[in-house]
Amino acid sequence: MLAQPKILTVSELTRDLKEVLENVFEEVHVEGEISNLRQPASGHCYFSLKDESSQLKCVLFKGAGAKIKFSLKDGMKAICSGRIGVYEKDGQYQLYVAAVEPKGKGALQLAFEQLKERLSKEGLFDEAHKKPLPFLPQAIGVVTSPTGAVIRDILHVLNRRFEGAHVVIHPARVQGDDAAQEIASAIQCFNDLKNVDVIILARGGGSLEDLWCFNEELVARAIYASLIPVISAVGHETDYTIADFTADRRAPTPSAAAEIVMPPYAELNERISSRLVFLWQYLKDIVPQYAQRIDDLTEDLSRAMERLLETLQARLGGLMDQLIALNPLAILKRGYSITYRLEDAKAVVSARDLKKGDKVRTRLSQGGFTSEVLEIS
Amino acid sequence: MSFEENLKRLEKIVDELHSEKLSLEKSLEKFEEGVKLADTSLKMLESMKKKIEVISKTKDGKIKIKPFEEEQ
Repeated sequence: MLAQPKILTVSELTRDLKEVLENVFEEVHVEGEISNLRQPASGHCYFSLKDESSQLKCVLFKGAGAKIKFSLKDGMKAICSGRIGVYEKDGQYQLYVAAVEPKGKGALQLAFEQLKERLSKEGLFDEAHKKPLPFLPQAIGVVTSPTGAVIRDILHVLNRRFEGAHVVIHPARVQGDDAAQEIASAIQCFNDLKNVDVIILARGGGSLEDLWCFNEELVARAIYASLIPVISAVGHETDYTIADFTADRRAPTPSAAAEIVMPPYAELNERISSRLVFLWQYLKDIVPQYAQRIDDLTEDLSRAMERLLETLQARLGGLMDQLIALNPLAILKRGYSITYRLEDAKAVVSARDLKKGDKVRTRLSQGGFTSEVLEIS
Repeated sequence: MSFEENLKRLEKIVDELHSEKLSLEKSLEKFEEGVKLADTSLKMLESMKKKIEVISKTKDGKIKIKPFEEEQ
């Protein structure tokens, strides 16, 4: 007798398949190209991984998705890790993704590049938005770990350049999950307190993972929003972070940030003192100069007065001589005389004015006489 | 005026006294202003507060600022 084949309901078969599949494919790593990517309002992410001949449906739930630093894109080659599950309602198997690693480069590297491109497009790195640093900061805010070499280096350099510079430290973790949040709120805190006029964000060297908080969007936004200029000083000279691009100034190292922010006291002091010395020297020079000029002018003046007097005297003498010469009586003194006709008292200047027998009066320098014309010649 | 403005004005005055022919009144005026500026600038430089502080938050979220002591 033939045994009756066991009839299964669809649900029963599906449940059996589910059990088998989910046991065998508890953890798989699948490489493929992301396609048909959808992210509805729920925040979960649906896509397919495909190669030349096959496709695998994938689900990335919101919680797992939040741990992925970069964003998925259609066409991206990636390795997805997770478990195979069966969605009983559709009879579909799919990969529940727990982690995604981009093919070719590290996840962080990719996330860095993606964020850099996005924020750059948005204008967060624009030169026009960068604020100038204060010439002489009255107080310097430092966001960093309060222990370790970095804060020591910064304080050391600041103190060397300007003994007693006012520094306010806002401690923050600079590594790990909470670091970005702590750094961002430290920047915000300084902006609320307004007790510093420049902020240094500092961290020592480390791997890309170690420095990761300085590549978080949260930190970039806080730097961009800060009304107080921010200097980023993260890692070594060769490390570039998103914070570096967003900051108003990038310092290659924490010590360099201290140098950038604080002008050396000795130099400033010299700049003022040398001017002060000049001013006093100027005063010392200018007073004798003017005194000398006054002396010179006084001398010139008296010499000019003398010359003027001499000229006036000479002119006066000349005029008097002329006056004397012009006095008609003076002519009589030299032996000349004037003769008048007696009849009409007209001065006789020509013999033709007279005839024999005319009576004339002659005036001399002293006195005069009357005579008669005897002969006209 | 800020420290920087003070310093720049002082330098401008010195340059003017150097190069320009000023009347005695004007140059004495400038001299006086220059000495005052230099004096103020030096005082500003000296008055920079000499302390290092650290910000901390109390449990109820209040901000406290106290002198920084390096933990060795």
